[in-house]
Amino acid sequence: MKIQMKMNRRTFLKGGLGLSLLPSMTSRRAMANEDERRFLFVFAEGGWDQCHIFAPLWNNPHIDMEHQSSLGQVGNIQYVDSAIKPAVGEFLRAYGSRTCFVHGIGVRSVAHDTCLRLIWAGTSNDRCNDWASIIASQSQSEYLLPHVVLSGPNYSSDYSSYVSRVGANGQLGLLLPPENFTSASIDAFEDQWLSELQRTPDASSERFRALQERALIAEANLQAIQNLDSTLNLLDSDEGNDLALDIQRAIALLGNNVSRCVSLKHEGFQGLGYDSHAANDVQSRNLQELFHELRLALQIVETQYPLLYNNLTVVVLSEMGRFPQLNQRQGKTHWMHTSAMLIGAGVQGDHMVGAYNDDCMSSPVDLLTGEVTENGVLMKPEHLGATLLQLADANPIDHIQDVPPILGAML
Amino acid sequence: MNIVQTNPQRRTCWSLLAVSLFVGACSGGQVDDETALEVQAPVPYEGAFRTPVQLARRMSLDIRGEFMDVNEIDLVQQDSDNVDTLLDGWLQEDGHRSQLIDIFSSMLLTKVDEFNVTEADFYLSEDLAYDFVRAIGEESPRLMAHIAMSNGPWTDVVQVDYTMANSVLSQIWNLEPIDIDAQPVDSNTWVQARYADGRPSLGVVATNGIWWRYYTTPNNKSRARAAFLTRLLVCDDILSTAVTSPSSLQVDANNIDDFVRTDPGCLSCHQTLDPLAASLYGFWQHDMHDVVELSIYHPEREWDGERDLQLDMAWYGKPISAPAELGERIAEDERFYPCAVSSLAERLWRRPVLDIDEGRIETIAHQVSSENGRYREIFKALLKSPEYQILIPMDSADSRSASTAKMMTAHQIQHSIQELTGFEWTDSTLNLLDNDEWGYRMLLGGIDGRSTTQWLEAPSATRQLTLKRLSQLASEHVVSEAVEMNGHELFLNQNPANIGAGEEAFKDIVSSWRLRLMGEAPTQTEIEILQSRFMQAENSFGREAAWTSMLSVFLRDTNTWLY
Repeated sequence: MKIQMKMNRRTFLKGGLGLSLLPSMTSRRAMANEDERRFLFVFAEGGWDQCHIFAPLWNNPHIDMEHQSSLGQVGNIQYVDSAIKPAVGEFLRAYGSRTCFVHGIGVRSVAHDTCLRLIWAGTSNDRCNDWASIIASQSQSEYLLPHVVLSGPNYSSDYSSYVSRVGANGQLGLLLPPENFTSASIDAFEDQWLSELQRTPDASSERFRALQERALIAEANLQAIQNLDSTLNLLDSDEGNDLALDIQRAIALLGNNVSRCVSLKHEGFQGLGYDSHAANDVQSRNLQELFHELRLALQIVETQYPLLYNNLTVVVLSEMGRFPQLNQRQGKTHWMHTSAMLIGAGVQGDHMVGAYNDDCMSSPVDLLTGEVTENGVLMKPEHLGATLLQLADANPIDHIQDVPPILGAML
Repeated sequence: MNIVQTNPQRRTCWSLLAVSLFVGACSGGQVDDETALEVQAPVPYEGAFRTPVQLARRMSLDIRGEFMDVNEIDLVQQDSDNVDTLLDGWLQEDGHRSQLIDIFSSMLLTKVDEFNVTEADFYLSEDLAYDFVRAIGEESPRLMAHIAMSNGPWTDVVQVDYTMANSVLSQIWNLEPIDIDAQPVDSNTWVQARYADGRPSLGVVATNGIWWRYYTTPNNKSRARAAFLTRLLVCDDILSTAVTSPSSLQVDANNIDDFVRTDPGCLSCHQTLDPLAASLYGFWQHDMHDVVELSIYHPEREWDGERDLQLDMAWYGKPISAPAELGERIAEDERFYPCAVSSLAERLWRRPVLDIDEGRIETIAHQVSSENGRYREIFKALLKSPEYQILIPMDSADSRSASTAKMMTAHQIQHSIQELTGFEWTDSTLNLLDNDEWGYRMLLGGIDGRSTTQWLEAPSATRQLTLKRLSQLASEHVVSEAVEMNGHELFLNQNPANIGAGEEAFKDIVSSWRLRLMGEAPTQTEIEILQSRFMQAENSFGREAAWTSMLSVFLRDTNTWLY
């Protein structure tokens, strides 16, 4: 049997998942507490160059800064400014008061896979759980899709039942409507039949019962998701890049209380990514696109989802930084010091935590204030994770049990 | 030694070995061949074990990704000793090969949807896009599966002089079938073949499949490739070792190699990585997008690594006089068999290997390596371990109890449903359950080799939805076929269009489904509930739709895919 399933992302958005950018007037709300903090994770894939935005370190022969750049400052936030990426300044002028730059996070590796796990989950172990999955799993409310991965990495060894993927080309949108597979009435009949048929064997382990319970919850949510999908308006837009579309879909999921966390990746300007071993200039274009879309996203949330605007924390991160010097191909290799941005609810805005020293390495930080101090702490991904979990009112998991949050980044 | 990891932030040592070996391994130094291995007994693990049918069902799914048929269940019910007989047979089946490929793929992560070159670079039709990436991605796991099913020792995996090839690989690479009369006729036919480019006999280490996935760059100098090998073959995950910052930034592209050889922050890893990387320069590609550079081995570059990295080739301090010796060095490594056991245990037990498991891992590794060294024996020993067989542990808090219930993987679901119903979810030549660009592999809980590297461990909404759609399509397919062909094995060779809920055949069919899928016959009450529901469906949607729905619901039942 062959089923024609190919369609591009935009076709999908017009006819598939159909989660509207606009708040649904008729949607059935999940049993979500609208006051609970939501999280949007935006991942700059490949390792961004701190010397293009976060580390203003000119006049150092060992550091190659962005070409034709200068110091930019909006409020208390300093950054590397340039004519090619005006969107950074525009973003900060609009939302700098809600933004905190966290500088000098040491990822202690220069391998993408390892750094990915470190920045997302605070460990290099394969079997791990990313911050978004942990937060989703500890929600006080019921979400239909607690953590949606629109794109990018996901680590959820223990919390995979809270995670939903949409697929590289929005395949979830094709799977949802029963009409693509059978009739809606048969589909509903089967669901009911299944719920009657399921039974727990007399001799079964705790693990079996736990997995079965998770499956039943997922099945029950599935039916609600299908119903929800049919009541939402379809997105009718052919414009914008993949980042813009993903952000719009994320807002719809968060704003309609379908999800508590949504994660997505930015593949960079024209998909060139941030892993610029050659032609490092692409970093500027990437950042221009990223900040432009972030500003538009927050504008939409602010104007159309006021409740979400007050409860949404946006986390923007990259798995590593880039070695301060250009190589022979005008690119940069990997670097184990990076930054992250926190924006929105619970965040100490108009603020910078930490800094890079003259060698473009992390400086020790007083976690309470965010100030650089000799007696401070060298920040690790675990500190970022502890901060996010505290922002989410979530309990710290094993390997960051004793790691303090960066209080200086929080309100 | 880094076989068992509970705390990834520190390199866990192989605490069961003699002290001299312990020190050597933990420091990343050379292992003393003369040191005696002291095998510690496994930690006891007690509880209620699975019944013979439950155990055989679990083994069948793990070995060949299929449910038992009614005859096999009957055999087990007659005599539990028949489980061993069945097990030996299953380990020879094609289904086992398929399962092994999936298992090895989860270690190699080569089944990605994209490489640095495409089918168009080889002037192949766009219709072959899926076949192209799948052939490249499957070369290495297929070779490992082939050796695992052979009678040779597992050390062959780094020493044989051949690989596996299908029609696509034969077209794009310089491969010659070992049996000249056994040319691969299509992409589904795989034969043993040799690269005709002078590459050394290094088994999986000499396959293009892994080096296309783990390419290197002028700055990386094959180090990432070296790190992949140490992780795969001796479970030393060098990339997870914490890197300290260089002592200063007085380093540039011209002196960075001196720097990593001398800076204490770099040395701990690079003293292992760089000598191994130096041995891999025959696989070096000057241009990672050039099909010729990527496809052929370059014997003339074998010594470039020593010059480039300015050191001698070595495997954990043991000198290598030529790349051809690398396989031998790996096979001699004391960690080779424990790593093979540990990697497979993690997948069969479906949980991390813990400190408490060390005795079991070491015992199996020692036993197998000192006998015939066959991978099949590792597989069997793990299936016979109490960690695999216990249903309900005496101590419910025992950290090993996560293995007591497992979810079928995406591959197992796909394979078992295809075996049952004949349904394959495809789009033209694209297997939609073996692809993420347009398909549903990750949505069903599979691995894409890049952003998801672990099988899904608990059901998610998208996994359940994908399973639901697969079940619906497969059920519709097999019911249609059974009606059209006037019978199907799943319907006990009868035509479902002629069978209503009140017929004796109805009970026989649903009983056989229940037994095959869930390992237990239904009670009379359960049959009556099924009859009642079936009649409702028949009245509303017709008889064929009722059979389709009932089978679909059976396939989705947790008792079917939990095992």
